[in-house]
Amino acid sequence: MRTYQSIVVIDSLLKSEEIDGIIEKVERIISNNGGKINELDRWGKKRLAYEIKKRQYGYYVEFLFDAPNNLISVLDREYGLDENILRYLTIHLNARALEQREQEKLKRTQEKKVPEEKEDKVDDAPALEEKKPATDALADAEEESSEESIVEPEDDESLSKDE
Amino acid sequence: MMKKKRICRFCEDNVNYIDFSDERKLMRFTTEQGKIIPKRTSGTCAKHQRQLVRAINRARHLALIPYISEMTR
Repeated sequence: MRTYQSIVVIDSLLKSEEIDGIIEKVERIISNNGGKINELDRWGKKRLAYEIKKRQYGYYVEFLFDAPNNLISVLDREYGLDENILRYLTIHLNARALEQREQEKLKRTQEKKVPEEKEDKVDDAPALEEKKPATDALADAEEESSEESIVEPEDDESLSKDE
Repeated sequence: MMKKKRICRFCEDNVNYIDFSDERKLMRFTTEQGKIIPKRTSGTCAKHQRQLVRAINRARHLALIPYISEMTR
């Protein structure tokens, strides 16, 4: 038994029941073939970076499961047969990856705990507060990336001088 | 002349595994066109560059990040 991570991109134009149906089907395949699902994470509808089968958006679902190695070929074949599945990826998670995931999960739960405490005192204010840091983080990320692109050419020059 | 030291960002943060689902982080290591920035430019160490390339390729397959950006298409 090894731990696997599987991500499926489903056609977002389908009705929500049909999407649920596909997710259930995958769950059934895993459990019927001796696998055990640990986590099911719906990333939801996301814009695709490029068009796939004329679709701009996809519905992302992540499965985390323990499975015997013969299940993966069965699962991948089922994915391939389903026309509503735009893309899929199944990978084995090694110890390092699992460790990283757990650390991130811990971080996330710790972050969540802080605003929850505030909610007890005031009802409306925390919702605003929660949104603000997220947008700030976004802006920071963008700033950093723009800075990088400016800094890099300078670095190149310094390199060539050294040589 | 002094040689400018390049430090691998992943080593700095003690990263053991680069997750392909974090597209914003991965995009930082691609050019505007969507190409992967070479380690001679970004300063990433060999170990992490290999992991990074793998993560980027996986993210590209799932259409999380583009193979070629819309601008250059």
